[in-house]
Amino acid sequence: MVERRTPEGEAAPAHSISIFGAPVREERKAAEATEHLATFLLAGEEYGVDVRLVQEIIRVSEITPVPRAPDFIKGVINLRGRIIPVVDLKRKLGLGQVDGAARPSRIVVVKVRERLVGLLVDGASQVLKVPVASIEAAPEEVVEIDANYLRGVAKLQDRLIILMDLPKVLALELREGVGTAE
Amino acid sequence: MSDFQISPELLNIYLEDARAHLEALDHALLALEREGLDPEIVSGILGPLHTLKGNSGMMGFGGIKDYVHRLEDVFVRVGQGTVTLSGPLFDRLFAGASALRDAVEQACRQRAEVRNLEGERAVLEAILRQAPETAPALPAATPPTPALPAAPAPPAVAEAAAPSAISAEYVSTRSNMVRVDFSQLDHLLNLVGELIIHRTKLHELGRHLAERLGGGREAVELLSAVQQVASVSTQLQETVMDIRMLPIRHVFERFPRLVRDLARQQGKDIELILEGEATRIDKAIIDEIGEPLVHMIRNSVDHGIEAPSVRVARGKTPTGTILLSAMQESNHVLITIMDDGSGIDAAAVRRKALDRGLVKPEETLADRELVQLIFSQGFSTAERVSELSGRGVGLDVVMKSIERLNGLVEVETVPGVGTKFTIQLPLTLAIISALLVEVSDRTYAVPLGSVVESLKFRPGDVHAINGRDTLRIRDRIVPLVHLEAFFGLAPVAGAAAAHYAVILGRGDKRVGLVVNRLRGQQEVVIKALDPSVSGTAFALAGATIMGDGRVVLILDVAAFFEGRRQALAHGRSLPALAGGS
Repeated sequence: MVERRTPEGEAAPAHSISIFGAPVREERKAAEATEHLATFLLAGEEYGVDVRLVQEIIRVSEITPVPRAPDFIKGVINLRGRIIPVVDLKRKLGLGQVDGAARPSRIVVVKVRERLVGLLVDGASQVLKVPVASIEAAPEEVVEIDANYLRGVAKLQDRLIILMDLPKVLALELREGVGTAE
Repeated sequence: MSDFQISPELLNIYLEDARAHLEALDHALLALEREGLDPEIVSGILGPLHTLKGNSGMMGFGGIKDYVHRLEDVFVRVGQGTVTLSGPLFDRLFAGASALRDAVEQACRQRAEVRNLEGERAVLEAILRQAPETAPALPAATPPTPALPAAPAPPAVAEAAAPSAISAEYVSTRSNMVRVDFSQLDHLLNLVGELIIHRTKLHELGRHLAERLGGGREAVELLSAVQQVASVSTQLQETVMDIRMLPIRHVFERFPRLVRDLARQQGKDIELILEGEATRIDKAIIDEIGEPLVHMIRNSVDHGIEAPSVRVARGKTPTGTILLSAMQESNHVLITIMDDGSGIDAAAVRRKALDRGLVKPEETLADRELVQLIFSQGFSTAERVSELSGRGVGLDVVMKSIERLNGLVEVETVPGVGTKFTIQLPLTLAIISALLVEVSDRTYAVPLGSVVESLKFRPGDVHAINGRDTLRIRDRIVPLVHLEAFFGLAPVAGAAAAHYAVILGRGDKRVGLVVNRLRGQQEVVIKALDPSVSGTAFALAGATIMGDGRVVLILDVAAFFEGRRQALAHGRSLPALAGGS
């Protein structure tokens, strides 16, 4: 099962938030263990990742497509002189490709295992603290569907945040010399 | 062993310095072995040894210090003629030098002596015991003071041994030299790359603004300032590139010892001649090229140079020669490894290639082409796996390493006369000349070093041979790769008539890339691509950033040659795959 409260989550240090324009709202002033999350929207749902993995959130600039790459790799971008790959998270997670009106509006740049990867999302919302106690395992019926990248669900007063295990989501991309065109 | 804290910086300085002294020791031993007793060589090595002894003592490496002390004594006796130079003596001294090198390297890594040199020291003491002591030890034997005095070596040292003169001074102020961590130079180069990119943008903006300002004084000043920035950043780039360059001597200087050891083990007699050691090349390449060169030199010793008796029987001199040379040629450095050995037997290569399924029985290949097969994967001409080169590493690995550096390697051979390997390397890894091409409205960069020519052709010039499009260029039939299809891109309407072929060369092979437009040459700063999207499968070697911030992908030329047939097969199947998107 997927109930996994990462030890580093519990020991989350006070994080200096450096994300441009992201309003910081604390859900609850809690003395108990909390996790810092950066959240974003994907196909109408709110997802959260460990904020320490997030380097910055940028607007979508020109993405250069990479021929022969798997279709969930949208291409590469120029991040102040570094070239980083951009993963289309919706395609990657099989959430359809809701292009058109609801065009992805942000790229969340994450650093996983020393590699920078951009995640194309529908919109970034905020950085927040959630009490570890509010995190539950994802419902089994959901987990069945090839969804072991879910760490659980944070149930807050007014909403649900789906916690994503980024290193798992990106496991394939982080392997050396992945995927050919086939 | 010392209890006081040695700072990492000091330890680094010690290590760098010690390496130079150990190198000098190797050279002195090699020279003595080759030329016999020469008092100048002997006195020339005493200075470096003395410095090494003093420095090691200061670092608290007592075992190293004691060993070097004995080594000094041995050289003093050699100079006096009471220790006679002989084969067995050289073997012991070379073995000792290797042990000493190990001990120094390990001590610096572990920050304490781990390698015990007592056994080696006993060997030296035994040598000394057999030699009558005729003169008092040189002043070199006085205990070193922590202040690292300049080596009180005989006067001859001053002219004969530059290394000692330089290294002994390192603690005192050397006003014109600094030691810099190479990663800082890397960072500096990255920043300069950024600057170059923005320079182009600034230039364009400046021109537009000046036009709007309408040629007034401010416009003139703006343009002149932009010009200044451009000129200074160009100089800055050149200077940074220059700082990163090191003489290839840093790689070559290990090889005399390598060849000597290998030759001795195999009972061969080989002279290694070095040429063009002062040729400079980017340190990033220096760091990578050593290993492939070691393999190639081993290859020449193992499979090139014959045993002395065989050589004599063939009417050659008993001593074989390997020539290792480097020279700069415009934007490249050429390294050649030439031996006067037995050459490569094309018929044997063909047999092996047939065995390995690399060629078909009905295929006819010129000898020259056949010989290039030794670089194919899984090919090894070594009949017997020798201890030296039979480490499962063949020339295919050498070729891969060299191609990773954007280099080329070729072989020429005349059976019975010798073999010549030529490696062509770019001067730097960071900036290359590229040909920009346009395919289906996208721009790609092709490393210019691999481009033989580019030409316009008509659809009627293309001939399908055995289902593969080819282009006849003079008397050659060149297979074509339609980049558009290869990359699964949407065809450009109306552009069908405008076809250009960029002819790539790798050794004798040619492949033509079909593109829609040529957009000219440009110097580009190479940026690494994430491993998830680079490599042969993607046919991409990296990316670069244009003046307007756009990313342009750089093609991996090797991918169009490696398994050319598979690549073409991919190219055909891709449009179908890409149809859905």
